[in-house]
Amino acid sequence: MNTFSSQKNNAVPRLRPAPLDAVVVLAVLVLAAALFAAMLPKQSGGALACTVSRDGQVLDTFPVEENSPGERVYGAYTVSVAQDGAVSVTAAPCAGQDCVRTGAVRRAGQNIVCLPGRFVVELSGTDGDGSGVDIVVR
Amino acid sequence: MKNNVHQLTLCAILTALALALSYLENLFPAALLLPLPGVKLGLANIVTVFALYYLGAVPALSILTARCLLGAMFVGNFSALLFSLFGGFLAMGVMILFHRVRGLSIYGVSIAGAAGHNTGQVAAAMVTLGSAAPLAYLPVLLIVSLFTGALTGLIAALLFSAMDKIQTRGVPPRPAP
Repeated sequence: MNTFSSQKNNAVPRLRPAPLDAVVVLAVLVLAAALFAAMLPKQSGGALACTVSRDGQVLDTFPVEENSPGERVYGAYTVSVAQDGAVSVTAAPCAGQDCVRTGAVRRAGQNIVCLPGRFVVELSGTDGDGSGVDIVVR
Repeated sequence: MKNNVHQLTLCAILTALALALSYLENLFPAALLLPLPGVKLGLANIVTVFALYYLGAVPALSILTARCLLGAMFVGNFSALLFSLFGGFLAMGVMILFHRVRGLSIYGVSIAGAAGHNTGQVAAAMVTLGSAAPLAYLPVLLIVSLFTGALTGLIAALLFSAMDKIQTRGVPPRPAP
C-alpha cells in the first residue's frame, strides 16, 4: 500500500470484502426486520381511518370503506379512495411525484408521504383501542 | 504541515467532484426503480469514503459540510440542506468510527455509512414533517442501503487499487512533443 506510506495517521483501507463485513450486513438486515416487525399493523381487517395532514397539522380524518370510491382535494393534492378501499395520492404539485408513484395503501400503519409538500396520508385502524367499536350480533 | 497547499487543493477538487456527482445522480433518479422518497445511489459518498481514508476525518468532514452547504445553495431550499446535513453527518460519524476497525473492509464501512445516511434522512423527514410516518420507509431504505453502500464501496476500492498501481509503477511519462 504505497499510496498511504506518506499518510501516517490514516487507516489503510482493506479493498477486499472481509468476514467482519458480513456482521455489518447482518446488523442492517436485523435492524430493518426489527423495525418492520415493530410497525406491522396490529389488526388487519376491521374499520380503517385515513388521516391527512400537512406541516404536522391534521387537515382531515375520514373513514375508509369499501364500495365508496371518491376523491378528496386538499389544495394541490388529490387523495383518492378506490372501489376496494385502497387509498392513493393521485395528484401532487411537486416535481418528484414520489407520493403519486408510491401507489395505493390498504392496511393500517401504512402511509404515503410527500416530503417537499410536508403532506402525509396515514391509515390507522379504528378498532382495537376500545372506543367506537361496533359489536356485531348475529 | 508540509503539504498544506496540496491538501487544500485536493479538498477543493473533491468538494467539486462530490457536487458534480450528486448533480449527476439527479439525472438518473434511482427513485424510478423504487418509488420511495429518499432512494438515491449516494454517489457523492464515494468522495466521502475516499477523503476519510486518504486525508483523514477532519478534511473529510469539511468536504462534506462544504458539499452540503453549496448543494443546498444550488438547489435553493432549506429543507434539502437539513436532509443532506442529517444524512451526511450521521453517515460520516458511523464511518469515522468504523473505518478504524481492522477487520472491516471498505465495503463494510461504506454499507454502514449508507445505512447511517438513510437513517439520518428519515430522521430529517420526521423533523420536517412533525410526524413519525417516514419511519415506515426506514426498513426498505436500510435494505436499499446494502446495495448502494456495496456499490460505492466497490467504486472506492477500484479507485484505491488504481491509485496503488500508479504509485508503484509511476505515472507514464508524457511523450515529448
